[in-house]
Amino acid sequence: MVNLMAVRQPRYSKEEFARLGDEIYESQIRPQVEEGNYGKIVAIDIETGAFEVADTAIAATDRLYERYDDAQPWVIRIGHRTLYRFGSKSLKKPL
Amino acid sequence: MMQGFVNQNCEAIISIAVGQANTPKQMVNAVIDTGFTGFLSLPLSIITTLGLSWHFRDFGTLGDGSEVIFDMYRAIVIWDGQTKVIDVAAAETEPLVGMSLLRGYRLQIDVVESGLVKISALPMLVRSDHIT
Repeated sequence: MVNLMAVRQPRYSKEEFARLGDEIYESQIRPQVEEGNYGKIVAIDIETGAFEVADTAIAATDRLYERYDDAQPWVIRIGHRTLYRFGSKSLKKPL
Repeated sequence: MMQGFVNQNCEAIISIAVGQANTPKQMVNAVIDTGFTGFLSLPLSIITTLGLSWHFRDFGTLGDGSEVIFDMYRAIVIWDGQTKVIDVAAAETEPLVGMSLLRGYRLQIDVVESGLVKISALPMLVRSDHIT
């Protein structure tokens, strides 16, 4: 069988992606990772719930893809509302 | 050391080579945006032309404080003569270079139309990067 690497693409709408990612993070991952990892990056596969914590999004997603080649990664900066900012500090809303 | 220029809107512009691994790179003119904490943003049309692969999604904060879901792609840039793996945010604005790409460098801007932009490696940081 020819091993062709499929082109990676999202299989969910943006809204569904964020909803699933945040739900998995809040219910399963946050209690395990939050303490001592403030500012680190967590990449979550929204299909399997598998996750990887690293210093950068590149490292976290690469590790996730090593385990799950077909992963659908949702990425969160621990303790922050967003990963990157475009010209603004995050609003001071509760997490 | 890299050089760019200040355009007629007083924006600092740097030209960078972007693409996938092992393929020819394309030069892209990007606005240096010190309020952007990521590496690079590109409109989807350029992402598609370059054939960049989708990698993940995240929330980003916009200038008005709103939070938006971004598609993030993986690219290779030639930065100060070295190849560097970066995240690229798909955003329908002019290409932006952010602080993650500038990390470890000194940015000097002569903020006047046609002024000079200079980006040079910080020697101390380069040395400590090599040790780790």
